[in-house]
Amino acid sequence: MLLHVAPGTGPEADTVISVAVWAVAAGVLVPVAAWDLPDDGGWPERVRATVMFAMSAITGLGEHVDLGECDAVDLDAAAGVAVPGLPRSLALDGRVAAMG
Amino acid sequence: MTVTPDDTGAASQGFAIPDDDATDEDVDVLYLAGQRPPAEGAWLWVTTAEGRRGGEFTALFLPRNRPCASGGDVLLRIAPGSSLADEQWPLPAMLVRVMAVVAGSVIHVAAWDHLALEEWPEIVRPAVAFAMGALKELQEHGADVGAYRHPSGQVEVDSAAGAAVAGFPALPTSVRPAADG
Repeated sequence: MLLHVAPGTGPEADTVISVAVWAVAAGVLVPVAAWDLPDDGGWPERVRATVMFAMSAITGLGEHVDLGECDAVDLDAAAGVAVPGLPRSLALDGRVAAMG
Repeated sequence: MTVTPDDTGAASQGFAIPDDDATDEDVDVLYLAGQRPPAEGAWLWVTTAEGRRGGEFTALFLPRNRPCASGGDVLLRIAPGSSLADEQWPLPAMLVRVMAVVAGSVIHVAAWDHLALEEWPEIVRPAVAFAMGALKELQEHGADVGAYRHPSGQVEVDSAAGAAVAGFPALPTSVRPAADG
């Protein structure tokens, strides 16, 4: 799980911070959620539930599927082509762990 | 069937929320952009959420009275944003929460308090697509996200949302018996 934090953009840039939650699954960078939040120091609590959900989901999936934990991803390059939703390769490329 | 702006009839008015039964026609969530939600808010059960911007994004309105959902469902709670005047967050705005039903609990996925009426569906799409994909994969790999606490097998979302939790509860996993005992 990754957090991307950056200064805000637009007319309220000085008072806004951009925060995004990303997941890496099977070599793919997946956007989970993003916000423009007041830059008052409270952003970590605003994104906590989303991070917990995503970590829970990835942990649960990791018990059944090879998520490619050892495969490094070039984050800047991947962010430019990222598409929401888990990659289809989780189900289709034979990475699924044997269930018995 | 998905209701779009080109359709006719009451359901095409946007927020056509039934009183007692869930609608049987999907609503195009993108069509709801720009429309003010009802003051009391609304629950939507997401039926399709493609990942790409502009892709299919449909849902069913849950009824006003005793809305219920089942394990594995991904829900949207939409309501008018804060009425407080704020230079930083000009009105009108939407409050949108993405929630998932897992093992009898309603779980926070993501929330926004001040989304522009015209933009909110595309802002929440990644969280919805991620949640739906994760729950689908977990189910396909044996995790029982529909394990129930309530005897009816459904969760009353108004009350459950008040006690919503962050992160998954422990999920039972289906076990295949060994072939030779």
